[in-house]
Amino acid sequence: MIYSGSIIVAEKGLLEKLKGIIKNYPQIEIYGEDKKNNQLVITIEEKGSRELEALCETLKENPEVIEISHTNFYFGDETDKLIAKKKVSEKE
Amino acid sequence: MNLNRRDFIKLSLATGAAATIGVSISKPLEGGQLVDKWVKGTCRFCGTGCGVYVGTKKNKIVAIKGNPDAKTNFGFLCVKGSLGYKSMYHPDRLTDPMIRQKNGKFKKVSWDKALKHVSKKFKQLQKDHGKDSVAFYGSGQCTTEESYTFNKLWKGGFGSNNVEGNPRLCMASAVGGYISTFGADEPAGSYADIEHSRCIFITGSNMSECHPILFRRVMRHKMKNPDVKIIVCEPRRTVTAKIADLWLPVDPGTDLAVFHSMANEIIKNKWADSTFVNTNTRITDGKKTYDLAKYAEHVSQFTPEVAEKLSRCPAANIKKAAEWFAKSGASLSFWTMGLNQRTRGVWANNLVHNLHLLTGNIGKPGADSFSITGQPNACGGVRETGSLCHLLPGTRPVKSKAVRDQVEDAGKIKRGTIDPKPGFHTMKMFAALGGEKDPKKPIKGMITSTTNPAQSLPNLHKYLKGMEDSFLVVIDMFPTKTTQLADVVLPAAFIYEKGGVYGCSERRSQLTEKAVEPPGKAKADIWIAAQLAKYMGFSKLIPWNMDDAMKANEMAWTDYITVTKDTEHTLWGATYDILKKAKAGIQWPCPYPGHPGTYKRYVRGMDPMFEHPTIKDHIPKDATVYFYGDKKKQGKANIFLRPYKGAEEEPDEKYPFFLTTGRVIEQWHTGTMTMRVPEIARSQPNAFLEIHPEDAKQYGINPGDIVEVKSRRGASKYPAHLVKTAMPGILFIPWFDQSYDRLVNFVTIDAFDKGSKQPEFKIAAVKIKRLSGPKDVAEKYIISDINSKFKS
Repeated sequence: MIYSGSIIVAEKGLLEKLKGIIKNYPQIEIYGEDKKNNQLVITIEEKGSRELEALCETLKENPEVIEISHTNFYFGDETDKLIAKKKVSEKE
Repeated sequence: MNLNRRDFIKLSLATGAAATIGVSISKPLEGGQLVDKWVKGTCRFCGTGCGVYVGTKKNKIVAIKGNPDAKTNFGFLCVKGSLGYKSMYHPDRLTDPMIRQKNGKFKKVSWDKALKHVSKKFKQLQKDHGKDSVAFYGSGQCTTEESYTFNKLWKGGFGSNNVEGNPRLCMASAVGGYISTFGADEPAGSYADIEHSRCIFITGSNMSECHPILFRRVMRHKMKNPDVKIIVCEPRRTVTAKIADLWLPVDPGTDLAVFHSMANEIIKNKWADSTFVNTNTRITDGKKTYDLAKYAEHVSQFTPEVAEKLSRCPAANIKKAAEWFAKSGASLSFWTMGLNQRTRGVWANNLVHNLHLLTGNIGKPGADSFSITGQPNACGGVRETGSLCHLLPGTRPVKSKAVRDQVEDAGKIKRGTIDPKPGFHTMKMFAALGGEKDPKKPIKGMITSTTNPAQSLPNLHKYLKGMEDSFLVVIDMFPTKTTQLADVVLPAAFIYEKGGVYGCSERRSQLTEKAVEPPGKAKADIWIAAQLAKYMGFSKLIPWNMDDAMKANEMAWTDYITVTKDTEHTLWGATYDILKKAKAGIQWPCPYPGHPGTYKRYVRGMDPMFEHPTIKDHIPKDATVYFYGDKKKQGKANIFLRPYKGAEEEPDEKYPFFLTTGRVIEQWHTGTMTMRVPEIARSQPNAFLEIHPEDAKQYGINPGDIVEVKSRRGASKYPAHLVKTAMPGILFIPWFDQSYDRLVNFVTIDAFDKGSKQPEFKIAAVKIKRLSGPKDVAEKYIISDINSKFKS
């Protein structure tokens, strides 16, 4: 799994509507908001980076969304997988 | 609060994200640690210089977060920057030094054996063929300390100026443009000008894909200020062009006519700032000086209608662009390889600078003429340390005796060691590289660091034999096209396995701390350089050969800032201790410890060089703007009268298409790292040919069909992508793909700019042929076997 901490920016006056839309995505959780600048603090949890990017692209198709930006990622599970794969490869 | 691991991870990330925009979150994080430690650093996947923290756990990197204090990215990250680190753990990492055996296969050896082998061979080549017979070819991805060390070993140890680096291929024309116009390299302003600008002119740059975090800043500025105008001049209607208020489509290589035409409109409509022009500029063709009337006469031949005929850019768009640029109050230009990778690259840079000087759009907030670099340390590592064949530290000419004397004295190099004659520039260097028995090839050995010339050089067929025949030593993390031709391969550490300084596009030097240990026997390049110096008898010159990479880095950095102490590039105030504590790095000039660094050069009150003892006496007391790099000591910048000239090779009956090359957002350079990140590889698994549907129809090409692209130099083949992003007649291919059949540099041209010696990657004349229907080439090709052949 990959997790991101992200900021989603809504069109002016559409922050509440956006919050409603986000409820349809179980991978996304809202942690805070900045009403003045129409921004939400969210986390995204996805199987991999590709799925995460695809989800963001889907969200951007909503007219309520201006932009989604990421500020941090946790990929420890993937690092462990890569190292495990490397060890198998070395044994081979 | 009792959290499970998953919730804890999410809450930690949310806390970080909230801090970036200065809000508190509903469920504050209490206790616990997502990682063992966060280590400060800089992203290495473009030239923006984004500040990051990497999270480590049990000597592994498990997380990354943007540095909210960074003045470059304010805590935000892009896909490439946030995922590229995963390549560190790929099973293909090189972990042992290797020497190629007589049977053609590599054999793992100890470091001692590898270094003895390399130093013995280099000594023999220098003895038999002269000091210049062994060359160094570095990279804008080496740290500053590494570039400085290799440069010092070659110029101050061997007495050879055969030192080059891949920035010659990406930004030499920008250097030439800055030095010829302003007398000194690198931009006057900073990224902070974005938020003050009223008009942003992006030319020869697909900023949205190549510098996404800077593009985000541009977009946000536009969103907050809808009256800010964005103009994009670019052959392809990229995502960058899509957000523009005005797109100036041009045929490759014809934008010189557009820039001249904009200058013509500015003068004709009396939008020029004559006070600024008279006080701060000199109009010249490089030999004589002229008045504004002569310049007006020169550009008057480029009416918008004439420019349209030359470039296919609509005349109305040129007129509107000139008006917005001149009348905005603060215009800011950005460009990258679209201007630099040209046979007229220096001229193209000069003509953009002309527009700024003509309208007084420089030396004030929001106004600047800014070349963005492609690599994380092309500016700091190669330009500033002078790691090119004609330069010395501080971007100063090797030809100058005064400079050589100062560098020798400050660097504790014996007087007279540095050769006054410049070495070979990159294209000449590779043309001169060959076997010991070939009398036409004076360079017999080479060591490359953090670069992949066997994929990245233009007109590649011409240079492969030289690399194969010579004694080639390659320092890299992975097997590449270049290791396939190498005699010795030395395993390198990643930036977070060694630490060091990167200097980004806006003159900002930022220190990355070592976070984790490298795998196996991989080593920092600075250790390899310093050990090579020791084995070749130069340990007094380069004593930082210890195993502690950060200690070695600090010693090299201190040596570097001592040598450049009194130059315009001074980082004397940016000691290692200060850089370690600085949350956002430091912008030069920084003349003494405690100085905060410089947002804008050439402006009294902003630029500390106005008070520096080496310069202040030359600057008139009443001068507010003064270009102190001016060789004529008049403090003026040059507005150049440059003729119009198109590309070296333009389409004709036999080769009817323009081919242009570039990057895509996911992949970095030759793909050796990014193609090893599974998500990136899946999203861009192979190179492709972008072709306009009208052209495709004419050749019977359907989406996915395999098409041969052929120039006078070579051919390669790609699946077709039918897109309307470029005008008919213009093809595009990205250059990250390592597969032999899709090496686009078999097709590109190696003609180069006479001034900057930078080749014209951006423009070649080609023909196309449909070979077959769709075939699956989404193979995510990487070179995993160190013993594989080049044609595999």
